[in-house]
Amino acid sequence: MPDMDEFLEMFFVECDELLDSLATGLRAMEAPDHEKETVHSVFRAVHSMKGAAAAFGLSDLVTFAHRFETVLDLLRSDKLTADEEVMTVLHRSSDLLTDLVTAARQSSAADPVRLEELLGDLDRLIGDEGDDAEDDALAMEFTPLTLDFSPLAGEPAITTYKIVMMPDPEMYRTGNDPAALIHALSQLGDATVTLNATNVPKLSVWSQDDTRLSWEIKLATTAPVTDIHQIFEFVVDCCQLDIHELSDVVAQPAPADSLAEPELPAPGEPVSDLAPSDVEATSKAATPVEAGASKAGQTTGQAATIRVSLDRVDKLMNMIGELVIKEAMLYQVIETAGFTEDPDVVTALEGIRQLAGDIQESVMSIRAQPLKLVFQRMHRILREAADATGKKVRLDTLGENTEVDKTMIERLIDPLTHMIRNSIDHGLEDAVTRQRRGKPQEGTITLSAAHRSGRVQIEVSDDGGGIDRERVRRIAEERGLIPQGATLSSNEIDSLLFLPGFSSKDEVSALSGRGVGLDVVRREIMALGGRVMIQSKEGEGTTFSIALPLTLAVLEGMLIQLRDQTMVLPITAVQETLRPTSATLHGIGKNGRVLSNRGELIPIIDLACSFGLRDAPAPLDDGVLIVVETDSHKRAALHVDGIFDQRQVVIKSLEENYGRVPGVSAATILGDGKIALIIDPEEIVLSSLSEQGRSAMAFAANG
Amino acid sequence: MPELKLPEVLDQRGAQIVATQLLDRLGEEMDLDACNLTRLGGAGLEMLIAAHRQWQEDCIRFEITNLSPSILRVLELLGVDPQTLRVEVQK
Repeated sequence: MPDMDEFLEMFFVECDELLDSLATGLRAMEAPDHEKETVHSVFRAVHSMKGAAAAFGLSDLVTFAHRFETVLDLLRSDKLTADEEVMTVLHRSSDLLTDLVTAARQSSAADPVRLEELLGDLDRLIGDEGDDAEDDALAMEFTPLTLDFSPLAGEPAITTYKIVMMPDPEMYRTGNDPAALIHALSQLGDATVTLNATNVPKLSVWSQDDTRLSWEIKLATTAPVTDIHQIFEFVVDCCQLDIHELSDVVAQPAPADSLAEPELPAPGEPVSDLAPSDVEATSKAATPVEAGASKAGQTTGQAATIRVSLDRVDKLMNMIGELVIKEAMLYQVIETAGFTEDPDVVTALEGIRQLAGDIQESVMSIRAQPLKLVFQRMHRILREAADATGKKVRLDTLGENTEVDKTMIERLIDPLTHMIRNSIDHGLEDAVTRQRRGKPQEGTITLSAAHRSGRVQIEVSDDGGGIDRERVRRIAEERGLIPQGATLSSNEIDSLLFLPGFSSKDEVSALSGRGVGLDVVRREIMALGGRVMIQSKEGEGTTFSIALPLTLAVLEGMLIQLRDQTMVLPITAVQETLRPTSATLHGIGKNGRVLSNRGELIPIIDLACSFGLRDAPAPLDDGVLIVVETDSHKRAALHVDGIFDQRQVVIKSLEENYGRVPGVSAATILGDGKIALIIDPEEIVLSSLSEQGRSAMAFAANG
Repeated sequence: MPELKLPEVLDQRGAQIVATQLLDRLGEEMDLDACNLTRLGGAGLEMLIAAHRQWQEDCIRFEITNLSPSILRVLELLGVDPQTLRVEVQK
């Protein structure tokens, strides 16, 4: 028998999915013309969680889920209307349910005060509309039950499943026999078979390519539902199948349900999450054939997913990285041997390169997850922040299905949380000011995501007052972050917000007293290889944009030469490359050199000097200039000895293997087996500017 | 008595063959002799039901005879009462 922990882990994984659909459903319910099915799905999510929680003796969770479910049931039966007040309670309940699950996961207890408070709120809703006596009776039945998972746990309860099977012609063609399947089912328990032949036509119009027979099997068994699925494992894709649990008593105690299936169903399988009334509806509304048909797509879809541990995917990703390196090495060897002119070799090599690229992309798509997972959480953050500040705020999300690497999903939560809080706390004006400015009382925060030229762009924008640049400047001066009266552009003032210790709020509010500043947001985003930018328009609002790479594993880079070293410059920072002419070069001061480029004078940085490969800047007539731009829109021209190539390189962390090196973000292995450092242009430019006596600004933008 | 012997295996291929033979004899009284039948698949069953429906519609006698115990067991598993596969015509 598998470990108890394993069951519990499965339960939590399932809970995550249920909580997710719960939150989505609740938001859909806010729409005035939402479908009744939405309420049903929300109800089912809570119901399923309650049932499973009872099996693990999580009494807080069960008690709360039950009360929550009762309210949902009232909504379902139109005894209660989902007005704003009710929805607020429902949202909070959903949040608390998440907390309770988290608490159970960490074997701790959720906030008892909040639990009591919400139980009270729910009770009030039930008390207003529902039948208290009935509720009490239900509550009695739902007393949580602790399960003993040892084999001596006594007689397991019998569960009845209704299985509707409608074979496709493909199933007969492959020699799969319904009789054998039914026989296997009857080995599990007591099976009652009903054949539905009503749709079979007369022989003259009959065709074996259009199968019409379907079977409905009622199976009373003590076996877990997974055993049933196992029987159909080989025919799921050539047979329309619908398996669900029959519970004919409306108030059947959930613990009993769970007893019958100690092995929790794999999440997503339509097993125990069908509420009794839905079972009735299905059997009344449709013949078994139709019911089977309607669920068919769903069943096949579920069978097509597997759970794989992240370790394995990471390992695969690493190996792909090695493959890319080996491919580069192979190319180098072939080049050295002088075969690059041979069209066969070139074609074969190109094929391998293409394939390696495709594999890499596929693995990346395995790791990719929709940002929805992060965005979902922000609704709650927003609600809490809105409560804390007393502002009315709405969150609009766009592009939730944009996918990014799984690692990024996890690491985006904190920065986005802070940005949302920041937008509500500092960005949005209070209701009175908004009214005076002719804006709707309710503020809007828009969270959007999109793929943009090989990067993921996430934006948090508010329709608030915009950045008060005068005030930001004053505060920065007061705190000694910038010299008094320094000349700063609007962009430079905006980036002061990212300074450590900068807080524009005069008094520390409940939200901002958390010790996290925008500087942490910036550092975290930069650690992900991303950039943060601010755009603000006075009176109209502020937009924070985050641009992230699609993956943390590979990078499109420019291979450059610095003396005898090869280094990699991330292509995202590069604006243009050019050979300097005397007309575009100007000297400033003793050693200063600037490039006149597109109507702007930009400093020239000798990269070989920055890395200590050369003592004095080389003459500019040989070599190439690469114009780069930083987050704070600072531009600089990097002087390098030459450009080799542009290619994808596999990122190998330096910090993990060696230590942090200023101006270098990571390393990679080249085709010839040599290690090349990946340059962090941001750091190079800013540290170089600070040498030129602008340390304060570098500090400001660097965080 | 017009009679048709069912093959040993009435799977998808067998069903197709028998269906063709049966269609040739539309309108005739039919005795399907199942003495050789050892395997009845889903497609075979569906074909038999379709044939039964055809003969029933035409109001002509239709019967499957000599069903072996093992085939009867299969029919039971599949939820089929052999009696329902008969068409009796009152003369």
